[in-house]
Amino acid sequence: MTGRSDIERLVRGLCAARVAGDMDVLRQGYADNATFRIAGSPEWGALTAPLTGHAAIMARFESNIASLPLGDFAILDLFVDANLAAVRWRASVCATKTKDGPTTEVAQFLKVENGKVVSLVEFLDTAYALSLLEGAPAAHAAKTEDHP
Amino acid sequence: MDRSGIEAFVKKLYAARVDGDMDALSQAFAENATFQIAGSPEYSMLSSLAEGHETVMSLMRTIVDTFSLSDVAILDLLIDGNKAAVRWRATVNVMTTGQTVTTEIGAFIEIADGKVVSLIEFVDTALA
Repeated sequence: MTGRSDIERLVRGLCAARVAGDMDVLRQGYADNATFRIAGSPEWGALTAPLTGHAAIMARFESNIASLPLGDFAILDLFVDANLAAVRWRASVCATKTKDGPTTEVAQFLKVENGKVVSLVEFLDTAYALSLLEGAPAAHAAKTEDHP
Repeated sequence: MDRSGIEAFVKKLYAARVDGDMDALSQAFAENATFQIAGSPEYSMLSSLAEGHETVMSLMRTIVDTFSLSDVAILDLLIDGNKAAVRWRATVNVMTTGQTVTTEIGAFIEIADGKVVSLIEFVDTALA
């Protein structure tokens, strides 16, 4: 059983670890059978493909940390209700080859068991994320290239 | 408003949204309410910010007139004080194009004096 303060501490710690690129903390925070999904159409390919298992999730986090550094990070809302948490945060997210990325907001819904995250569903600006992945000026361009 | 009151309020709010009940939606939002669809307008026409009851209702009217919802299911509902976080899924029919998509939405709601003062929604912005 994980208490409310424990879950809040876990979520804040995982957010801080994402910003700092601290993979050790991220590894410790997720269960072996954890799942991670960015909410969005399956048409967006790897961006929204569900990930299952610790190794797959950590690989995604490592990739994100390497390619999408975060700046000006702030937690805007953090709710804990039983073993669920919801956090809304803001950051500037930049592709390494890009400077001065816009500030964006992300929402995460987490389920915690035995002190570790077993489920993470993340909501982000998929249009902006696709533009970063595709290097296109706007998602419409990326979508047109992928799905004529 | 206690926890059960907030839960009932949120469910009523979403029922009004599904039904396109503008009277119920109008009553649910405070005069100084804000309604934001998170994201950069540079990348998606869905991203919006409405401030004040009249502007919020105008945006809500546009949404109700453009998107019809069915098969709505609340997947997560977290309540903390006067705030709620909701993760819900719906099948959305874009009435102007006939396009249908099942999508998930995250929402953060702040309630004061029985009315919504802040609604922030996270949608799949790449859809439009």
